[in-house]
Amino acid sequence: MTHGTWGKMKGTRGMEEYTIRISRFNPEVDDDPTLKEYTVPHVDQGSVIAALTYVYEEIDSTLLFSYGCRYKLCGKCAIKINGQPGLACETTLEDRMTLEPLDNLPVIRDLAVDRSGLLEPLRKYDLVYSADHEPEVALQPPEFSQLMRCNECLSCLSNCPAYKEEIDYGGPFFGVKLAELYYDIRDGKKQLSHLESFLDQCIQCRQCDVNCPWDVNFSEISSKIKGEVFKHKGVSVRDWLMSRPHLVGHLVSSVSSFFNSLVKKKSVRKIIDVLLRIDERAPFPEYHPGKALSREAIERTTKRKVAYFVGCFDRFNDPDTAKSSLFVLEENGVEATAFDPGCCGAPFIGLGDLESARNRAVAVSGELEKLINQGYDIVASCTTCGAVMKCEYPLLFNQLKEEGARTRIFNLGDYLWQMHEAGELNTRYQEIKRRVGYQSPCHLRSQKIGTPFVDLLRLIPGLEVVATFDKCCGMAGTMGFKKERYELSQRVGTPLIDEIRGEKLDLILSDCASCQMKIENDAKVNSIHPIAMIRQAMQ
Amino acid sequence: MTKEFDFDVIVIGAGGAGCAAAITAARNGTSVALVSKEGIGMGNTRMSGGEMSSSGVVDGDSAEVLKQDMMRGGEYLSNEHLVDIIARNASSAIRFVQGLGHFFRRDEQGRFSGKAASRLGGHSFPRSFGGLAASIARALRNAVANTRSISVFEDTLITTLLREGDEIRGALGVDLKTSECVVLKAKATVLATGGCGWLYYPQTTNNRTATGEGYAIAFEAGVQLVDMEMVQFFPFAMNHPPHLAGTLLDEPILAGPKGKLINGLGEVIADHDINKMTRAQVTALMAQEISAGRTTEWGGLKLDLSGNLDVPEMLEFKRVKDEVNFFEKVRIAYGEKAFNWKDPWDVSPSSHYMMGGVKIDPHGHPSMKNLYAIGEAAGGAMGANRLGSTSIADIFVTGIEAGKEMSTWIKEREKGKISNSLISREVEKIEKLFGQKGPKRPIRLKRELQKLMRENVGIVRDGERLSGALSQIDRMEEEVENALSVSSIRRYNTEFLDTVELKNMLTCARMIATCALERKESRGAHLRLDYPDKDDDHWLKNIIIQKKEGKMETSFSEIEISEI
Repeated sequence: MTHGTWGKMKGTRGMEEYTIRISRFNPEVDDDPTLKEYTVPHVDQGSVIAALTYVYEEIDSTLLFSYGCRYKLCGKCAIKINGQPGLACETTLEDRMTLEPLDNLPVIRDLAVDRSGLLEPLRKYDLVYSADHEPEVALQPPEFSQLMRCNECLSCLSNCPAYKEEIDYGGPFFGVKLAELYYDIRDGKKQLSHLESFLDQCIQCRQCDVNCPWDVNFSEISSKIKGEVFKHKGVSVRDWLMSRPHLVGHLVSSVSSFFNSLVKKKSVRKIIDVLLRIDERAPFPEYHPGKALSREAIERTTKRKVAYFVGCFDRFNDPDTAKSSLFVLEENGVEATAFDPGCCGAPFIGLGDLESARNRAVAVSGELEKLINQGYDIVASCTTCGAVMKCEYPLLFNQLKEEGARTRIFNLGDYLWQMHEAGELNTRYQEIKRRVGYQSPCHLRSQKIGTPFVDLLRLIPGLEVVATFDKCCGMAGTMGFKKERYELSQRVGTPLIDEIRGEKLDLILSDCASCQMKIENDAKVNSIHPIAMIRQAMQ
Repeated sequence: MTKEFDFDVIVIGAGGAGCAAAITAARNGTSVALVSKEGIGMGNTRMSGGEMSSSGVVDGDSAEVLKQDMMRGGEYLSNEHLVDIIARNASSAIRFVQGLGHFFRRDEQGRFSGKAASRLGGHSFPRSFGGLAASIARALRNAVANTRSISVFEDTLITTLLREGDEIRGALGVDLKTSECVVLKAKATVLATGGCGWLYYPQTTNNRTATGEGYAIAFEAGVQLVDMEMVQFFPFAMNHPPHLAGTLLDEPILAGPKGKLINGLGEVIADHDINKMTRAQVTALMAQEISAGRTTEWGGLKLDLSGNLDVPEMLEFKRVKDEVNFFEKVRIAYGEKAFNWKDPWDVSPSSHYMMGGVKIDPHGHPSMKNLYAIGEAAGGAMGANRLGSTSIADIFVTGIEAGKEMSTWIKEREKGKISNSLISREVEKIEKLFGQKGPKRPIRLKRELQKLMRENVGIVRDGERLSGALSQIDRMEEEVENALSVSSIRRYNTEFLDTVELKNMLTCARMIATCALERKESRGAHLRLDYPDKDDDHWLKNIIIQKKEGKMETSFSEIEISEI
């Protein structure tokens, strides 16, 4: 969580000295880590390792930090740099950098974490290669080379919200080790059963990819493996339904008011809990009549044309968000059309039903390409739909092959902010005197585009974004509804809920419906899409 | 509080050699303690180039030819028996590594054939197989974790070999996370501690942990060492920016058939077939220019690779390296044009490998009972210069051999006792190092020593500077005893670690300088300005160094050459 704004860290060449903060912590004598300030000389292209070495040599040689090869071979030097895991050897030092140890691992002292606990999962899950002979011909699949890039820096473990040392899960690190064996064409065992237990704990939030120095893209592999496991298992009625929100939406929307009042009853939730194994404590979406939202664009004189993607949640649960999005775009002179090609396929990917997901990807990509060729930029207000179209369609399903196509798909916040940077955004906003928080969804963070809605909201006079939250809410799309996954969902999401409660705000803005539902249900704080605030400021 | 443990075998060092020995011994039913200063597989094996020599895969090649190449590359200073063992067993060592799960790069059809092998400098045939070094380290670590009778001691620094009479009966170390002493008693102790390249920081390709523990503790226990003057300086390493200085670029093969070496005055020093030369030959070429001051502003030479842009094998070489981002740091430090071979690379030699080490017989036995030395910790096989890819072969061959051999006698042998007074004496020495109140922090003295080594015991040596270095080492050893400031932190005391490493580095430095002063000729990696020629008449012999009555003494051993 961050307070206030650090803005973007700009390079500060030309300065003589830098001031940096290093976390100092000896668990034997200190209750908590403290950030101590040190002044180090600026060296052209100087790395963080060089700065730490300087501090060690010149100021304090009790500072403990790990390093080995000094350039990106060994994985030993990963630490949190300005809150994000990274390799100290390849990161250039900047003024006012904050250096802390990785999260989720026991700290020996200062910046060094204890890796010795990682030997246990290797033993427990029998993570050792076995082949009775070396085959004469062995052509490894591309996934193998991709996995081999991992140098075990543990940045992924630092980011993983499901990994906690005291539970029986080795996190993405363990997943990569399993997958290395699984995809090794020579290995005899084909660890599918261990992979299943791994996937039980992986919530597919994709945070492991965000700071991987070698672009292992483990979440892509995780999705593929989930697909393998799915093929061997049957699918329950619940999972069949939950992966088809467009279909369910159609079924429910015709009786939406009745349905909404029914599921508010505790007794009904109990029945659903027992019959369908949807946890009675979990949130439940509200349904709307599901009127079609697709429509043609009203011609404008500006050069911008946007095709707004109507997501399932837009259509059946929260049409206000779609309407607000279109309103804001049109008030900014954009020729906006809305299209509804059906579900983007995210729930299928989450379930592992990659075959159904592929069908969706092909169908939706066809529409996207048509629109892009007609000169439209594609905008989605849901960060998951946006991420799936931009990243999963090309990576998992080989769609949108043209480089140009992928760069024309935007998240709403990102698109509006880029308009602002081009001087094209109408920012004559009315004052809204309010203190709010913003929850950054996992699928936004996995795209590494920052938090554009926070930047936009800061343009509204009187509006104070008091805190930006960036922990996983634990819903992981549909996972948090499922009875057998509820405990994991809570374990992951409780730190965020506690943080939000601690801030004592009455409104949290987030561009992910699952985050909104979870926050309302568990933190008991109102949560809506940030575009609603921008619309309000424009009326 | 001191903890005591009993094992059949202790292996000190968990790189390729140590892990191979531990795994092999454990598979034969031996109980093994595998001790590592940091983590398993986190040392130099992990950051190496990953190339491993086979005994021969191409028509015409054989173990015999490899042996001849190594003997010639070692400039005939090598122990022929040791070379023979490596050459004969290299191919089965490759199978061992594959059996652990490491995947060597294969040819386009997916075959493990001669087409996938490279021909490195000094080798008569293509026989070196490539792959990711980190993958070897991972495979070792996974195998160690899953071998039941190996007990792992990570973040444990061994400070002393425990000797009773003429036998080594175990080792004393410190668990760095708690600063508690650990006594490991065993019937056999294996030194697999690697080299001492960190002595030359930052002008080294090595990892931070390469501070020569094994050489120093062996010396203190009275064990013989050999060839300690033979420090290999890898010719092509980076020299700027400062935090990348010393880091490895690639073998002489990088220069291809048409690469050129150009000195600081723009003169071309060599313009063809640098790729066929051994590391020592290229370093010697560069050393001449460097010692005469004809260098670039960064103290190195320029390597112009542009001539290879129309050589198909070199373009393939570049493609394979770029696939794994091998030269990413070149792009960042030297620029895009340099990355694409259009601009030359600024290169300087960097301390890389210690050919010398603990003197062993063909079974890996040093001059003291119940001790083994394997891999880089052992000396004699590589003579005056090591060929590329032979170290990875060596660590596995010698590790497996030691593991096998120990298993043949370990169960029958009785364990020797270690007296409590020996243990308490050694523990007290360690305890005394904490909380010292002198004026100088150990890292400062370490840096002084490293500067001394770079400037006086480096690529090019002479009698005056070597003697001067020895006096400075005297002075530094006194400061270590009397003038250091060390904190009292118990939870991983970095200043304590610096102090122990510094002591070991000083012992190694003294051995290197003493032997370098002794050898009055130039051969392989040992270059003397005052004795620039090779002198086979007088110097076809190894220098042995040993602690006798508290003093460092040298002696000689004539080379026995059979049919060369």
